[in-house]
Amino acid sequence: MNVILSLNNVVKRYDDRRVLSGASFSVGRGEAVGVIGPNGAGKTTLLRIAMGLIHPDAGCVRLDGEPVQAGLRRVPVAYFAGESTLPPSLRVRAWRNLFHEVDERGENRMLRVLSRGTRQLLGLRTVFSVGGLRLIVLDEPWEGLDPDAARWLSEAMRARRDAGTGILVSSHRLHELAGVCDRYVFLNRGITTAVSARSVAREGLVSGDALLAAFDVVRGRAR
Amino acid sequence: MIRVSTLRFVLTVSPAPGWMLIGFAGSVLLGVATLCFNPREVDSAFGSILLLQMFAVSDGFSIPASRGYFDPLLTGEHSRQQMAIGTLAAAALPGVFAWVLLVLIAAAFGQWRIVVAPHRHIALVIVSVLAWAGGLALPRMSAGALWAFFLVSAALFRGALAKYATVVQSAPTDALHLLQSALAFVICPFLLLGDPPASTRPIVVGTDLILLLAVIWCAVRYVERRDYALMDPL
Repeated sequence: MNVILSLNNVVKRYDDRRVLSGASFSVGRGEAVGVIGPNGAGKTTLLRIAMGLIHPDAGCVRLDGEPVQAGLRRVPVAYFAGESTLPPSLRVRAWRNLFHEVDERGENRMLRVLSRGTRQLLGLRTVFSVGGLRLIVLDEPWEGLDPDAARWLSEAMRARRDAGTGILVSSHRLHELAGVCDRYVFLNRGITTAVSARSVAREGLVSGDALLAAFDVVRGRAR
Repeated sequence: MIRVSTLRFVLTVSPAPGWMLIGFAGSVLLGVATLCFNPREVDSAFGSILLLQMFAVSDGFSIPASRGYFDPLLTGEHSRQQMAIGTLAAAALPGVFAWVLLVLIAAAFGQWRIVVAPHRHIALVIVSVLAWAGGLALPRMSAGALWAFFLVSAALFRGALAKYATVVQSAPTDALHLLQSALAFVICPFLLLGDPPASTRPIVVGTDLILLLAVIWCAVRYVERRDYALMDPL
């Protein structure tokens, strides 16, 4: 499998606090990788480092074999960090126009007046409206979505993965992750542990409960 | 994933406030009125555009970027250098448009001394670059407010200011005088509107342009090297 994104021994400190202590993993083409970890473990930092938005103190991030900053200029990627990253004073139509999306309804409301779930869905639909992406990175994408929207998202992720796009997704929603991901990266105390879906599978089916049990094992080891 | 230009993205996501655009329009109208009734005082209209531009270009890039509003751009195909220059262009655009409009109107009124005097236009460049660069890490309009506060405070101490401002009232005779004149224009670009002798010397405005290029380089490096960790939304 060709690797589209790789992180190698990434270290990041904020002041004296070490958030990541040698995180390493990779995402291949047509592979979905889930990042799991407790609150404050550094999942968002890890994803933003992977997207070149935060510079690591040590280690390297490569996108399609190039340093991430250079890779971003050549490799089409999409990153969505949640509805709070949508500019609140922007109008829906203006946001869609930026991504050459056709706004059939001519929605002219400001994003700030939409519900949290609607904003989340708008951001996600924008991501999945863009064709030709080689990597999609999503931070807590199921947050605020109703069951129908959550099902749509899982199906959209599987379809993109099966079409050859690499997917990196962080979430606390283990059941949804289990339905999409081929591999998991457990992040605890700044250290990543990569686990394949097969190794956490019970009775031939990867489930959220199995993931939770696997995560407990990793946390126990870290203690 | 985004394929639009940096300029269009920034103008869409972080546009100038409406009252600012009204202010620029008012400055142009003031300029037209001045040209009709007292053409010699048209510099006051240019001064009001400069004052508004101080606030307009200090658009506080880092804070919206840390809220994730610029994520599609920061993870897109544009380099950080292009992005930095794009934000400068987007922030400066309304003021530059008002300025060019007033210059064209002045030309139509036969005020060619305004159109052909490069130092006036350099005043706009100085304000645009310095307020933008100074505002990168600050909340929106803070750099403009701090700069205006400094100038007003300096004006209150007229004795010291008058002594320093005299450096631009004669053509520079040595390197120190040249540097002092260039710095005086950078600190207070409004001095360039009054046609002081130092402003007509190419070496003085050339020194200012070199200083501005250095400021742009530092600002671009800042945009390149900064971490864009997510902060809490509003």
